[in-house]
Amino acid sequence: MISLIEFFRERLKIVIVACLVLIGVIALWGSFMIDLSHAHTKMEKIPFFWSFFGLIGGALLILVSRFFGRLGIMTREDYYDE
Amino acid sequence: MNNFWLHPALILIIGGLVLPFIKGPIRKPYLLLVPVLTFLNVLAMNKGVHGVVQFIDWQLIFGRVDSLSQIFGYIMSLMCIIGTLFALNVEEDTQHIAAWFYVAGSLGVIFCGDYVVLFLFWELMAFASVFLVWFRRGPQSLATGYRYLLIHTLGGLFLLAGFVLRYYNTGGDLSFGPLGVDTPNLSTYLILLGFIVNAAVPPFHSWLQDAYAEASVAGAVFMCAFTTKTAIYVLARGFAGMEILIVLGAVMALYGVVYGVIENDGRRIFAWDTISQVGYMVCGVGIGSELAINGACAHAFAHILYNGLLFMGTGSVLYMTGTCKLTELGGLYKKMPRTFFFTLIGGLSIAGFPLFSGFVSKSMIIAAGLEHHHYWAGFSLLLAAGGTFLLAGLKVPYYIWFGKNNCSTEVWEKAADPPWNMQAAMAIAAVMCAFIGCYTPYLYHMLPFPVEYNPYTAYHLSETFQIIGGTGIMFFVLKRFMEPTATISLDLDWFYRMAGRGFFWVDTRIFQFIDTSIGEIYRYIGLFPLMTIARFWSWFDWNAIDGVVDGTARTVRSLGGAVRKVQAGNMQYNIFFAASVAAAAVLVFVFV
Repeated sequence: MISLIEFFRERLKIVIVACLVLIGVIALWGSFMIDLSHAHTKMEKIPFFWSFFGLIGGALLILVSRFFGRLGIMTREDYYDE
Repeated sequence: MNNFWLHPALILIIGGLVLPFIKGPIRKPYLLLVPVLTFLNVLAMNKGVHGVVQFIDWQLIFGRVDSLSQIFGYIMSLMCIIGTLFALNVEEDTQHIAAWFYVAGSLGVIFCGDYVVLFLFWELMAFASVFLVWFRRGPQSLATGYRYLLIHTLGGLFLLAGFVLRYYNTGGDLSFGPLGVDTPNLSTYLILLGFIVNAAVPPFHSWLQDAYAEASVAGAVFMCAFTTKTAIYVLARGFAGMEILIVLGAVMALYGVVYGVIENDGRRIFAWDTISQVGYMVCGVGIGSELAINGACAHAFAHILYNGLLFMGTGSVLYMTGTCKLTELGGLYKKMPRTFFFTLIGGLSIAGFPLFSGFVSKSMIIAAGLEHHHYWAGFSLLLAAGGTFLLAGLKVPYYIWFGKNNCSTEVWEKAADPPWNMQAAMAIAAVMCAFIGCYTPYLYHMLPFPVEYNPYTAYHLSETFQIIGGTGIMFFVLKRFMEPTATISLDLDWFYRMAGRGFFWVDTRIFQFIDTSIGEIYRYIGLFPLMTIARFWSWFDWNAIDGVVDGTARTVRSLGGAVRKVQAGNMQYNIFFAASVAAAAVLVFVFV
């Protein structure tokens, strides 16, 4: 297990490129090569809709959460110890 | 009882009471035997109504066995085996007893047919599980346990008020079944409030991350499985189709993710994830269709296993290293590779990755939402699915097992895969997560309604891979915003924590000031005259009462002294004085 992990870590760039290529292929496949009749809304039929949903959704969740945290929600660990 | 029927909760309760007497090499086999017998007992149950007891004017039902209660009973008793195996190296009998009583409470609720039995076991759950927090014996455990107990007592009171009001409104109906969600009244809302406190629906959710993160290592594994999913069971039984639950569930799903992103403690992140995942189930109950209820049940089943696995994984890190904070960990794949592997499977399952359990369960709820045109809810749940992958599939594995090594020398040296029983429990849960994801009939055949749903369509696969892929890219692009910081996150518990402090401040400052002032006023106005009066009576007692008494005594003493002087030791003088006194006495008697 450890040697397998280290094998991939040593080839990190190749792993990253392979993952990106795989995601791209899946996005192409999902947008143009499958039956879209299962879609519930019209916008789901826009090419790469779910890829953008994942990208924008992920970014929104990270940035909004961080912004929310910086409003004073994130505070020192001993806050309640006083 | 009208026929022989053994309640599975009874096996756990009796098993727990006998446990302190079991010592030596048979203790560990016994620890496993009790939950295994409970599981077999649940498997052997026939559908129908069992365990009917007449109590005063009420007919209490302990054993309503139908497809809904069976699937929940099955997974609860299975999780009890896995949890007990994980806790096998815990030496304290009391911790096992608390855990088993807690599961007994859950099974009691699941198989009950009326509100009295439901309430009895509902409270057993709360009062047994609080010990799993207290047994951590950390600096915060006691206070956390009391907060947990207070919130659950509040929930219990809502429930009690609700079903008592319903009892009077309906002329004595105590049976627990579908409530009129289309025409809800006050009793319906009170019962709903009681249930959603246990389901950790905002704003009643703060007990969850507070208690789960502070519970003992083994205690958290039990706690993460039973309370919220038992609440989902009662919601599915009583409130299927109540639309407000769709809104609450969707809010929960996103709320948990947002807090998870800014959290630093591994177990607390999964506690937030629990709120998020329970949100899916609450949403499913709110949608109320057959597919949605099936989805809620399937997701509860899957969630119990993968959430248990995640808490076992992070609990193992805590158990071995003494910390679960991401800022104090990193690079542990070299030291805890098996724990990493099992936790990753849990993470992929909760994220709904294809071939794992979450993929075949949560998608049913999303599909039901979209089918019934609750588009905003469906897309919120899909967004939360991406967020869940962000947390459980990326953030926790990355910052605990990879990333920058922030381990102190002590943490690094202590880090290792946990004892065999903890690994075995994780392995069983991991295999179950993969099995459910790969072989859907196993789970789908247990669901309350027939299933026509197929999660492995090309469209669903492409949708899931694209969301996960997109979210994964954003994690690495925006990683600097995901960096854990040594902080805690304020939540709605701030209000009651501060209210508690406010009460303490008011008590120690204002009430104590009033008390002191009244004391001083009493001292000057009340005590001074009282002391004066007391001094007078003291004087009177000393000089008047005691004067009379002491005067008599002094007179007698003086007389005695005089008499003593008269007695010179000469007999003739003595006889003279005695005869004179006698003569004087006779004269007085005769003439006076």
